[in-house]
Amino acid sequence: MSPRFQLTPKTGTAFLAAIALGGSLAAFAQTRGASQAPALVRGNPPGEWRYWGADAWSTRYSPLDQINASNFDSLEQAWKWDVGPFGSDEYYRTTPLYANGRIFTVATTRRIAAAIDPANGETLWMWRMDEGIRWQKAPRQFAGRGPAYWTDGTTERVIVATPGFHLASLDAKTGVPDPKFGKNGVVDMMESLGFPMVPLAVDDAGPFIISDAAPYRQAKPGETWDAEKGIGADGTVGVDPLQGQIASSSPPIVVGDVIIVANSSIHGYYPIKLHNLPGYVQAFDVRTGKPLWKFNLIPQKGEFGAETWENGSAPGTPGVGKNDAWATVSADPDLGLVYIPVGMPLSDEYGGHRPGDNLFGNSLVAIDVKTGQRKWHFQMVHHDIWDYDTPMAPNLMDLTVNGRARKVIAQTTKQGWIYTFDRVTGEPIWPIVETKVLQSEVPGEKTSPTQPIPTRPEPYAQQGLEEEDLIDYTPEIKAAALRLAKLCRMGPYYIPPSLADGATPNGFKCSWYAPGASGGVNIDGGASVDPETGFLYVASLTSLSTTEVAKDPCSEHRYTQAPHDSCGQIGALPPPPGYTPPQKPAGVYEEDRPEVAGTPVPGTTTIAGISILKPRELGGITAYRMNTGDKAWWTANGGLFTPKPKADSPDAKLFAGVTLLPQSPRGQAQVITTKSLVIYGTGRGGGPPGSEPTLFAVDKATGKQVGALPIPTHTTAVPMTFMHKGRQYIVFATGGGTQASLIALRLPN
Amino acid sequence: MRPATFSGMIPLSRPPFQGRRTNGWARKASLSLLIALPAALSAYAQTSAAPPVAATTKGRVYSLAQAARGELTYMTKCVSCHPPGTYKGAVFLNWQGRSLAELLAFLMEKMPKSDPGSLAPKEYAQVMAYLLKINGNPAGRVDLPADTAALRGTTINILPDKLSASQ
Repeated sequence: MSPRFQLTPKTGTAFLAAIALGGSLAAFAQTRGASQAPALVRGNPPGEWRYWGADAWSTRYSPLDQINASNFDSLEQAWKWDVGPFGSDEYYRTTPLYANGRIFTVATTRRIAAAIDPANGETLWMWRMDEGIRWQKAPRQFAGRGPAYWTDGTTERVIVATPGFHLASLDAKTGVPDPKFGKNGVVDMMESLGFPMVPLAVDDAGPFIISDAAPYRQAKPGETWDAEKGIGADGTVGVDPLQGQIASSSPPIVVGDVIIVANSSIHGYYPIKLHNLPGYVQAFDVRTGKPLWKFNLIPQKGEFGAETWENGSAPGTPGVGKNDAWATVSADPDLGLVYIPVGMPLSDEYGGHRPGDNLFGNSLVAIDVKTGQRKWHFQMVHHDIWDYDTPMAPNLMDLTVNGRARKVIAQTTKQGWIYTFDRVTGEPIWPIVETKVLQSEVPGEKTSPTQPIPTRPEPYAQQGLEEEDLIDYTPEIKAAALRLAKLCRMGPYYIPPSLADGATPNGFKCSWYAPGASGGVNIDGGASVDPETGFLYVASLTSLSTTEVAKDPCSEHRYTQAPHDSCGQIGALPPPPGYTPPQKPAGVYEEDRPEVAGTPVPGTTTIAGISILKPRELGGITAYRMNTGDKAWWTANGGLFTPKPKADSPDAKLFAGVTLLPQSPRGQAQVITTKSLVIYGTGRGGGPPGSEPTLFAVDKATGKQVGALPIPTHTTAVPMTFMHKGRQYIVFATGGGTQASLIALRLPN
Repeated sequence: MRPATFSGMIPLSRPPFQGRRTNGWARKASLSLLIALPAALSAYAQTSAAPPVAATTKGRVYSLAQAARGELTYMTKCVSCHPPGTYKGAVFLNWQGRSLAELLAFLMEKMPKSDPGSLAPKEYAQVMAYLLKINGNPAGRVDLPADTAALRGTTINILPDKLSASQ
């Protein structure tokens, strides 16, 4: 590492060091030293990017304007930081930070931390932790969404929550773990949960399998590690595996001197075990790592909300698990509140084992940073059976609504609605009305009679499926679309999943699912705020799929998402008497497709390749004027495209002579806002079919495209921007597997 | 809205089934045809009119470049529900003996679960190439076509050679 990063300037010495090392360090030194601490706006010095969402309010806003409409297309690649040499990843879902002259990031399935020179992409330091089988069996083995940063003006720390659920505090200058923090710079966040810790062992050398197959287990007395086979006990300890698993996806947030960190959990598609670990929010002292408080996202006996678990809520109770807050979080440092968007309870599409509203599932929870006490909460989905985890950090805004200054928080969601509250009190800014919804006919399921529906703003994604949503270019096309639509359960929203074999009174084998499990907004998309105008830019997708449940013969659950068979997997139940393994993988096959004989397959969403859904200005990027809650403009993710009917389809003749409307492409854009632009990558979905990877700029006032820059591969996370030594940079993560990287753009000299 | 459609891949008049029941002669013939075909013909092999391109996935049915693109596609569009560990070995053995056409039709119709059919046809083929690679099938020079008719005669075989030879 370069000597200049070893300087630890206290007040005063920073100035001397800057003189000694020449002008190039001047800008750097200006941000050093308590007396020279830069003015913070929402916790971030303007021009830096110290939080996942730019600042504590998750605005993803930068006031920079060196890169603007006049020069966007002349941006050049400044450098590329290849992850490959450090390891592989899933898709690279990280938004790096820029603080005090350095870039900080995480990378690889091990979630290494690294500091990067913003000018040339050189690695300044790298840190990694060997977490043994706690990493091997981690439910979320990927880089995660980023690190956190903290400084008191002198000391600087990079804080990382690891896949194996440790919390590390690293010296931002050197990457060396802080010896005063936890044990040698690391806190074991499993230990601080308060469950008994046991030695762990594995019976196979492979990863954890979705949802909870092939986990680690408690080691037997005297069990040792077989390095040859990669099985046995490796000395790792953790929460008793019989309780379930716990994971980490998103960065902690630091408010004042308090680190607040939530957790993720197993996937809930195909669980085997009837319980899993609940979600928690934990707080630690940023200097010592000392645990300060723990908030139960599944309330326990005597706590507010415990009665929303009618069969009890203690860990280990059948039906109890998850409610994990896996998304990024936001805070208002002045109010001393942290805002936690909470995921759903165990089993994505069947809730028969957990009757009740299941607080704090699918809620936005405001917690007092000092005390760990709930200030307010709002549950956006009662008793979720749609996988509608709250997927994204809420956006904080100061607005004037109906002539009144309001401190606002806006939560974007998978279900396509924005839930807008007074962030001091939790009072909705516009009424959110409990509305009667369809009820499930799946045995054992007890759907909530109502769901809260915001009266304003209007949703940004397709809601359910009703007759008026179907394409109607001609009467024949409309009739064909209606025929398909009626094969699955229809409704305005919150259509409960059907039983896959149709053995219920209504006989449906599927239910329409819009928005689906990917949103609306999901981890990729979400919103950016313009603090100067009160605009909110929401990137989302709009889609149509189906949801149905069935019995997995080797799962403890009565039903799970269909179809699935976990028989034979480590940890699964033994097959029931008379069990015959599936003859082929789940799905519909050419040789047994009934529509060959003229009968459409339930769940089919297209006619001759054309979606039965009317093209609408949904998904893409929707700009809202949040002072009024009105939509201001809409643009497709990467531009509209016009689909073509499949010429060899028997139904193609329906479209002869019909001019099809252009449509919004799939995938969620990834937006940030600057002084004049909304900048976005098309995300993993990639924009219009067959389009080349591109970074776009639109005029933030009108949505008009003002720039389109070819990039090597699609963005895989929200980009960030900052000013370094007088030059504005845009950095984004891209790729995956062995081909992940960070790419930095700047204007030519 | 759908860039790729399964209905387009399912011909109205059903052709003679050529999947798992393809006889040995046909497999050998198609394999030798593949070997004999110069690279210039690969474009032809990707059209729907092409005959089956190889008997099994041991026959170098995809290219390394395609599998590399497939890795990116897989890691960006599939992995959040299907970590690679779950589609290697034992789990992928569910597909042993079935035709690549069935796998392609399944992927195009059912995946991604949240937005079925939303990938471009070539992306589905890339993903199949990546899955074949991580399951030990050797790469060749031509890309796997994104066409069920062309893939109907190719059987998935990811068993080690010793095991598959004794079948």
